[in-house]
Amino acid sequence: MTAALDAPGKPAERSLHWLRWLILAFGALGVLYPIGLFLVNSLKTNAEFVVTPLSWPSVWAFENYVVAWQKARMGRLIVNSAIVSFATTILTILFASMLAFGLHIFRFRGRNAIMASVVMTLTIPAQIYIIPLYIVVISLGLINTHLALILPYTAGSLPLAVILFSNYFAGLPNEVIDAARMDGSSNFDIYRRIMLPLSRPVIGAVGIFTFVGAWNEFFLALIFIQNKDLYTLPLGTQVFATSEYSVDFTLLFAAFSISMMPMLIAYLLMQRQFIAGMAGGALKG
Amino acid sequence: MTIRLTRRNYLLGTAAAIATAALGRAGFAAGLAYQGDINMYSLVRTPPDDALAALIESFQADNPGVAIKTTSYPSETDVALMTAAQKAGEAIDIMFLNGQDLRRYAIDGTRLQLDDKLALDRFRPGALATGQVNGKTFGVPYSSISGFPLIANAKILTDHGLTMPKTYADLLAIRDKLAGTDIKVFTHPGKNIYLWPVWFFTTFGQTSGNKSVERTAEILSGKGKFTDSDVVAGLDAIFQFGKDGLLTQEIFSMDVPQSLAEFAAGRALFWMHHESVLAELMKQAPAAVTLDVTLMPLLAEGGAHATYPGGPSAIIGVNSGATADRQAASIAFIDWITSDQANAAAVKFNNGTVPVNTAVAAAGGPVVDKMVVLSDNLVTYLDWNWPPEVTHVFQEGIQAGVGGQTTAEQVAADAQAALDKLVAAGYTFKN
Amino acid sequence: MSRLGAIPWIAPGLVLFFVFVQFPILLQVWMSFGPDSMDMTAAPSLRHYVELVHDRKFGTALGHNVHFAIATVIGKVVLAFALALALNGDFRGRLFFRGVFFLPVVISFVAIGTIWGFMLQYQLGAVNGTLRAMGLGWLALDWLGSGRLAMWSVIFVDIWKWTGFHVVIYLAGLQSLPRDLYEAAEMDGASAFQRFRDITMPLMRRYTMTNVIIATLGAFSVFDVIFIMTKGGPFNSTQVAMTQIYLNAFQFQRFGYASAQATALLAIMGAVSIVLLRLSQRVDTQ
Repeated sequence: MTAALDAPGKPAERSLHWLRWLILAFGALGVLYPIGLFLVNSLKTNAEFVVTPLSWPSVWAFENYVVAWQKARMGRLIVNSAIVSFATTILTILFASMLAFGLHIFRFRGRNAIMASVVMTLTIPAQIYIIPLYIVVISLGLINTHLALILPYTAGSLPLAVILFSNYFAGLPNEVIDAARMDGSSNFDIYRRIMLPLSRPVIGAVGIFTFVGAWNEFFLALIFIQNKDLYTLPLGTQVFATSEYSVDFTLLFAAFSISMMPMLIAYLLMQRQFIAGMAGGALKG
Repeated sequence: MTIRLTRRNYLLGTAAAIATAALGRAGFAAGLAYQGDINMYSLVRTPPDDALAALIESFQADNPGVAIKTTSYPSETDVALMTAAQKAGEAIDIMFLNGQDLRRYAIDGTRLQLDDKLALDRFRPGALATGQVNGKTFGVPYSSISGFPLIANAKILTDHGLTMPKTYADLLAIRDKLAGTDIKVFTHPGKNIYLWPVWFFTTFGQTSGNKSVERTAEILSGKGKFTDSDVVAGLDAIFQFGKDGLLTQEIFSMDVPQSLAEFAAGRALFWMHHESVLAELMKQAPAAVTLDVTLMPLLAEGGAHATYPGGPSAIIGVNSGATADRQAASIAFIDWITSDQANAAAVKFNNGTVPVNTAVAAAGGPVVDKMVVLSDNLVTYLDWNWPPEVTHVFQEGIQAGVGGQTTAEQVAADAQAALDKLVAAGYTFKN
Repeated sequence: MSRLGAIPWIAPGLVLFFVFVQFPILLQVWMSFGPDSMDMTAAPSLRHYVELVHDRKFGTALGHNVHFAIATVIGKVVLAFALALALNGDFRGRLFFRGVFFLPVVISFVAIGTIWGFMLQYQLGAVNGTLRAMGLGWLALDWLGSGRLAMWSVIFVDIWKWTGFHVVIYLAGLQSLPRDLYEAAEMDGASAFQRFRDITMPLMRRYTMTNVIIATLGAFSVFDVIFIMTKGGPFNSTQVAMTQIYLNAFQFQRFGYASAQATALLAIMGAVSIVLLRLSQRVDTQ
């Protein structure tokens, strides 16, 4: 474990080896047990789950996944969630990188103030100002459109994204930019041909955060999207309620696991870039 | 120029259509002067009301040029968001809300009076009461009228040689008989504060001498107080359930799913819960349960009979400020969705029990039939008249009281204090 | 360089941000000076703020936020650091384990709140069920139904969900540590523990500050996990600022007052973040 204590890649000392595995084992158990429980329960019938939530299913209800898919029209939900999440992610990456780039290249007074005003709202959830936001969205005529979600989500994702891009750019050596300028490149060329390609790790990190946030967002979607054809995944799971006060949990769990899959896969694929992006962008400079 | 079809026309003309399972195309062609959108604002229904969707399509097909646009909000945020929508300039034609929220607008005078615009005799009187202010009707009921009776597991009674209790003493005897088993007398989702006031509505129904609605009006208009003895007695009765072990401390970690689990597993005799769970239980048909319904046993001697709190599933109102032709279109639509045929479909698709229309028969077996009989004892939820601050005091106070953390007198005093504060800020009770 | 050239770069983000975040917040502050009915033409008054100062429930709720903040920040930072250390370096299954700990971050809070709501339930929950099966029945407490324990349960679930996020930040930091420092120290004869204490920990301070800031601000604005799991109960033991605001806005329909509460919360969060940022700048310069 001294490899961990020191720097990456060095061979581990045996005495601390077991400590690493102990921590990882307990941690993984703590994470996987609840998730495993709900995965198993997603394959029970609701009647059985309600009476014995801890048992193995007596009958494996694989059809729950099929029923959940059809009842909630998950194909449509996934398409809507995908549209909103991808658009939000792309816009966020674009606007945040442009904003960070502009503040990086142009050193003018007031630069810090602008940065601070954006970062200040970092963890303020939209629920705090939902009523005035609703008035704004209605006044812009956006209710019941995908934009009603994409635009506020993007705005809400900007603070963290801007921080990450900003720090990352600050950590890049100035020589690259200076050299490009001496070659006569315009700012746009520098942005497109140098900064963006170099920023792949941060793009990965911002991409994951933004995508996950948009994919799981529920509160704004519930209020701004009325048209069932435009529902995103979190909204669609409401159909599993069996009455005003009761829910078919096993179908709900099946729906949850279906919703989880895309993000899990995306994270596993992009893990390396994600962590490198956080490294470069989180706190340098 | 509006063509108004009477109920008689419906019953005669659509008798054939009723025979078909689906709603059919026997909509309502009203020959409306208004062409355009009618905006209907409603609550998000869980599960979604497919019957309403079909009714809307049917109406639009028969009235080309009129489109019913629905906007629905989650149940707690609906009033706030509707106000925000109005501030942003949206025109609201029809409000389709729960009884409590629509009543707020009925009292404010922003709903159109409907007495001479719709045939109101189609509705059960109990269902109509919620939308009425000073005897005038501003909102009409939809789908079914339902409430919180005691849902019972008759199998436990037969297994242990017991009979349905009629008095509080009977309840204690049952508790003693079940002492060795793991069966509780009552299960309840104690974690959920929204579900505590119904206990008060039930007990106060008795302790007020079956005058709970009148007494509430008196208290809210200042002619009585929450600290009066019948209110305190009503609260005390609930807390007594806790002290006597009829409600156990475990209920505070339970929400509806856990109570359902307990009841379905045969580990609880009674569950005071909304009738809509009957459909779920009938579908699951758990082996450990024989479903039955009853009312709260008599808490004390002396004349008062048992009642249960309830109300219609939704009430519909029309904007009194809209133009006359929009109002006519709105009324035509409402006439359609509250027609007997539409009502039958709505009740069926929404797992309702007792339809609000008197001409529509309830369907669902012996338990539902018993509910129809019991529904004569339905008393409108008292919090449909209470200001929300008072409701909140009761929600928290009853939960705390059953948990042994406060007394009936204290809760009553807190409720009165909340009311006094509102009165000082300008609140007056309107009925 | 001319300031104007910056405009096309910063304008899109700033405009979007203003319209959908800053303007609604400003509108909300404006509404806090208005009446409860959202009528925006009324004359401004401070009475909501006067009422707020006397609002004991809001004060208690803020106290819960502070409790929540201290517990979750310590929990997340310590756990995340330990996990990041364990995940650092080359070992078999590294990618798998890194994926595992990020899982809770990726799952929606509705799913998490529902699952943990079940697991922590007194009679039928998995946690108590497992404890009883292991013979530890006396440990099987009423995690969500007891006024004393509910807050800790919510804290636990929040830590469970977000630790993975902080692990990633720490991992990123650990991976950026310069190797030569360690090699030099090792050659000087420093033990593993000394290397850890004197090199790793100081260099990680900056990342710790980042995690502390994010976790603290999150603790003051926490809403979802509490709303889903306890709604502020039982017996008001888990009320926080946001649940009070929600109550006033949506149950009591007092929009003016709720806006005042929200504005006050924003001000508090602003003050906390300034304090923390100053602290982190001092840490940075060490």
